[in-house]
Amino acid sequence: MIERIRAIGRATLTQIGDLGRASLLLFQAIAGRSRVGVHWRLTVDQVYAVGVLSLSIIVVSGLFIGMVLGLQGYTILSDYGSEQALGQMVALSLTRELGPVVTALLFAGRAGSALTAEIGLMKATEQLASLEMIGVDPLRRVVAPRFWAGMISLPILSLIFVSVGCLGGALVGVSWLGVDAGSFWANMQASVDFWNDVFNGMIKSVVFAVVVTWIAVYQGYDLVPTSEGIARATTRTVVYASLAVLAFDFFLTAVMFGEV
Amino acid sequence: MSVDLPDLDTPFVEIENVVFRRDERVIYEGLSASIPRGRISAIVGPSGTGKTTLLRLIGGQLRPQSGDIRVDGISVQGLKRHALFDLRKRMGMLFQSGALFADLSVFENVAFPLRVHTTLDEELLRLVVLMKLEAVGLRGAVDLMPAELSGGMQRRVALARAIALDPEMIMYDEPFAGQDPIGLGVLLTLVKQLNQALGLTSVVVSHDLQETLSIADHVIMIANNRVAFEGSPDAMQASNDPLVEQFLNGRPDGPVRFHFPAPPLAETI
Repeated sequence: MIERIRAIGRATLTQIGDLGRASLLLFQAIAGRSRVGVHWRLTVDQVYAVGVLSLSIIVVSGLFIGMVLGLQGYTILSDYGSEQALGQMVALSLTRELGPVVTALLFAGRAGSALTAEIGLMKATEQLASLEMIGVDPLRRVVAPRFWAGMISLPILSLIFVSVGCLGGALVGVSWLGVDAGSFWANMQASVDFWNDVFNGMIKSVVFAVVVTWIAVYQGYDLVPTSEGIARATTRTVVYASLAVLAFDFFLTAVMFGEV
Repeated sequence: MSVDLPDLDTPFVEIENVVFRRDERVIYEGLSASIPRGRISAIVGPSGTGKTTLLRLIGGQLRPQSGDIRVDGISVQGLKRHALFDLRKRMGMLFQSGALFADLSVFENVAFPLRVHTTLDEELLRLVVLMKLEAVGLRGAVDLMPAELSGGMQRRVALARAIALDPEMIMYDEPFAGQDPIGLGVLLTLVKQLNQALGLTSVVVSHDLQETLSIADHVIMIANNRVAFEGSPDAMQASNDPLVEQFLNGRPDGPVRFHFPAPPLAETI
C-alpha cells in the first residue's frame, strides 16, 4: 500500500518537474531580446522545413476529407431532401472542427516527430553542447526558430486544409452527385460567419500550434541522447501532442460553441 | 624549441572541494585540483570516474552541488546565463564526436563562432577561417560537408572551429579515441603545437595514457570520487601509490577492483 502511494507521489513529482522544465524551456527560448535579423532567417528556414514540406500531406488529406464529407453529407441530407445545404455542412464541419484538428494531428505526425528527432540527434551528437561552448544559447538558436515556425505554419496549413476540403466537397457534391452549384456555394456563403466560425477555427489552430510545437521541441531537448531515447521521444511527441490536441479541442469547443 | 611558459603558480582554473552527484550516484566527493596557465594538463583515470564531467563543470554546462570552480579568477557556478556565455567565448572545447554542425559546410562550421561573436567583413572572415583550417592542415577541405570527412578530419575541423575565436583555454574530450596511428600522431602534434604557438592553456581528457603523458606538463588523475594524483608526468611515473601504479601498468586488480561488488560466489550459485 505504502509502496503504491509512493509510486503515485513519484509519478506526480516527475510530471510536475517535466511541466516546470518545459515551461522554463519555452520561456528562455522566446522571452527577452534576440538578434532579430539572424533569427528571422533561421525561422524562415524552419517555416520551409515544417510548413512547406508538410503541404503535400495537408493538401491531399484535405481533399479526401472534403470529398468524404461531401459523400456522407449528401447521403444523409438527401434523405430529408435538403441536399442543397451540403455546402453549409461541409464548410462548417471543416472550419469549426476538422480543419484545425486534423491539420494539427497530421502536423504532429509529420513535422512534430521530425522536430523531436532533429533536436534529439543534435543533442546526441553533442551539437547542442557545442553551441553552448561556443557561447550561443541553443534555446535561442535551435528551439526558438522551430517554435515560431510551428506557430506560423500550422494556422496557415489549417486554412489551406479547409479551402482544399471545401473544393473536395464541391467536387463530389456538385460535379459528381449533381447538387446545384449555385445553392452549394450560396448556402455556404450565407451560413459561415467569419468571426464565429473561421476566426474561432483559427484560434483553435493557434492553440494547437503552441501545444504541438512546444511538446515536440521539449521532447527533443529533454530526451536521453541515445538511439533508444530518440525513438521513445519521437513516439511520445506524436502520442502526447495528439492527445493534447483532442483534449484542448473539447475545451475550446465547449467555450466557443457550448451555449448553442 | 624553447618557449617562455607563464608561471605555474597562477593557475587558469582552480577547482576547490567540489561535490557533484548525478541523481543518487556520487561523482565527486570534495575534488580539488588546479590547471596551470599556458600548459598542457592531462586528466586521466579509470572509465566512468567523471573526467568528461569535470570538463563540463569547468565550462559551466553542469553545476556542482557544492564547492567552487574558478576560471581565471571568475567563479563559474555563480554566473548568470549571459555572463556564462561571455566566459565561454574565452574557452574552446573539442568534443569527442567533433560535434560539427551537420547542415553547414566545413567553411561555415569554422566561420560560425566568428559570425556570431564578431563583426568581421566577409573578406577578413574568409581569411581567418582559411588560416585556422591551414593550422589543422585542412584548407583543401574548405568546401566539403562534414559527412564527407573521416572521423579524424572531422575532429581537426572541430579543432579549427574551437580555436576560431582565439580562446585562452581549450579543452579536449578524448581527442585520440578511435584514431589510427597516423591520425593519433597528427592530433598529438596539433595539441602540442597549438599550446606552444598560441600559449593556450590546454586540458586533455584521454584514455591513451602513454601518448597523453608524452605531451603533458601536468597530470591530474581522478579515481574513487577524488583526485588520486596531481603533479608532473615524471612524478606520476615515480609514484609508489598503489592506485597510480595499477593504472599506469594496466593491472586488472588492485585498489580499483576487477570484480563488481557481489556476495561470495559460493553463496550465489
